[in-house]
Amino acid sequence: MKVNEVPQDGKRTMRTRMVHYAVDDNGEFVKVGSDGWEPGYRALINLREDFDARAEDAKERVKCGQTSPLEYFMHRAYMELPTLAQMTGLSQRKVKKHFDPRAFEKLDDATLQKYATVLLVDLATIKDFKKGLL
Amino acid sequence: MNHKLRQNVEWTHYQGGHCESAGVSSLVTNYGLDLSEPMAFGVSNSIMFIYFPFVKVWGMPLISYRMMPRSIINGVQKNLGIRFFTRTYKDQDAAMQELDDLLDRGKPVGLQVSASFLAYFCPDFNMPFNAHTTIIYGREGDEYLVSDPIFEYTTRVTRDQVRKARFALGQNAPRGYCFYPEYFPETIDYRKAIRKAIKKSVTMMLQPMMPWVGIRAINTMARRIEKLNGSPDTKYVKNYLGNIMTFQEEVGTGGGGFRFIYAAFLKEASQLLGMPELLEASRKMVAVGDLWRQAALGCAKAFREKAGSIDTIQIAAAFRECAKAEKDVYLTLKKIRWK
Repeated sequence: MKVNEVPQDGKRTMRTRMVHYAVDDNGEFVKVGSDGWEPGYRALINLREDFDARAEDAKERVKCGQTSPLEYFMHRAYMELPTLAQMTGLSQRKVKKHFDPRAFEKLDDATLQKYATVLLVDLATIKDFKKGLL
Repeated sequence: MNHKLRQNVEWTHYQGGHCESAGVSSLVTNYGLDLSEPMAFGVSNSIMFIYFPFVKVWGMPLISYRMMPRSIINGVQKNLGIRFFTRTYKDQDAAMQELDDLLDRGKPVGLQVSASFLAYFCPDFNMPFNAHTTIIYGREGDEYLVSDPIFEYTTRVTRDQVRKARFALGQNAPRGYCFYPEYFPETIDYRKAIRKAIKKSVTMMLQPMMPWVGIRAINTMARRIEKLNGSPDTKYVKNYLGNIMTFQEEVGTGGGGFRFIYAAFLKEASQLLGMPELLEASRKMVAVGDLWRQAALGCAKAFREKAGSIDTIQIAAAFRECAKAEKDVYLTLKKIRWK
C-alpha cells in the first residue's frame, strides 16, 4: 500500500485515526493515520443492524408469549446462544430451555442474576421487561 | 549493546497498527530497550491465517490473520530472551490492588481487556471482543491514565470500567491478565531470533496437515465462498462476506494490515542483518497485502449488490490469488540460506 492509498473516507469505527503501515516513494515503511474505510464501516453497521433486527423480532415474540425476555437481551448484547451459554457457564440446552416463557417464570434469582451480569442489565429490568411491553 | 531495565518509567506514548504488538513494543521501549512494532510482531512469529468454521464469533466462523492473543508476548519472551512478569487472577480485588501497587512503584502495566467495557474505545459498537491489549501508565485518584496502543492520544478510564474489562467472560476471557517487562538480557542475538521466527512462521503457514491453518485455510475459505455462489439466502451471504471484511480490515488491523507489518519486519530484519534476500521477500509481502485489500474490496462490491443472487466466484478467485502470492513469499523465505 502506498501512502496515498491509505483509506481516508471519514467513517471511523473508533474515536481515533488508525495507523497503517504504508510504503513511501523511497520504499521506506511509514506509519500513516487512516480516517476510516467506508466499506468496512458499513459491514460493521450491517452486522449491528442484523442483531438489532433479531432483537426486535424477539421483542414481538415476548409480547405474544412465545419466548422469554432473555432472548431479547441476548440479541441486544450482540451475543449468540453458544456465547451466552459459555459466558454464564450453563449448557446450551439449559439456556434454550430458559427461552421458554414458562421455564423463565420459574427461574430463581441466582440464575437470573448470572444472566443479568453477563448481559449488562439489571435483574429488575429483565424481570419487568414483559410487564413493560403489555 | 547493554540494555538496562528502567526502574522509574517516564511514559512516552506511541501509536501502532495492532494492539498487542504495539502494546509490547511500546512497553518494552519505554522500559529501556528499543523494539519496533514490526520487529515485535515478526520475531514472535505471529503472522498466521486461521479459519475455524467450528468456532463462532458473533455468529460467524472465526477468521484470524495472526496467532492467538498473548502469543506476541510469549514469542518475544521466547525468541529475544526478554522476560515479562505475567499473571492471571482469580480474585478481582487482588488484581486491582496489584495494579495499583505496580503503578505506584512507577511501573506501567499492559492489560488484556474486553474492549466493549472501555468507554473511550468505540462507543457505537459495543460488541463483546475480549482480546484487546491496552497499557495503563499511571493513576490519579479513581481514574487510570491509559495509553492505548492503537490510539493517537492518551486518555483516562474509571476504575470500575477497568475492573469490568479485565474480568469479562466468554471466549478468550482475560481473567485479569497483566504483563510488564521484568528482565532484559545483556545482549540479544537478533540473527538467531529472526531466523528462528521466520522458520517457524514458514513451517506454520505451509503446513500440509490441517485445512484450517495457514495457506490451506485461505483455500478452504475460498472454497466455502465459492459454494455460496447463487445461494438464495443473500442475507447470509452478505453477512458472511461482511464478516470476512470486518475481520480483515476493520477490527484489529486485519489481514492486509498484518501483511504490511510483516513486510516492514522483513525490511527491518534485512537492514539489521545485511541480507538482501529478506528485502525481496519484503517487497513481495507488500504486494500480498495489496492483494488482500483488493479481495476485501471485491467483498465490499458484493455487499452493495441489490440483485437477487451474488456472484461469489470472483471473490473466491481473489482470495485464491492471495493464497498463491503468499505461498510464494514463504517459499522465498524458505530458500534463504542462513550461514
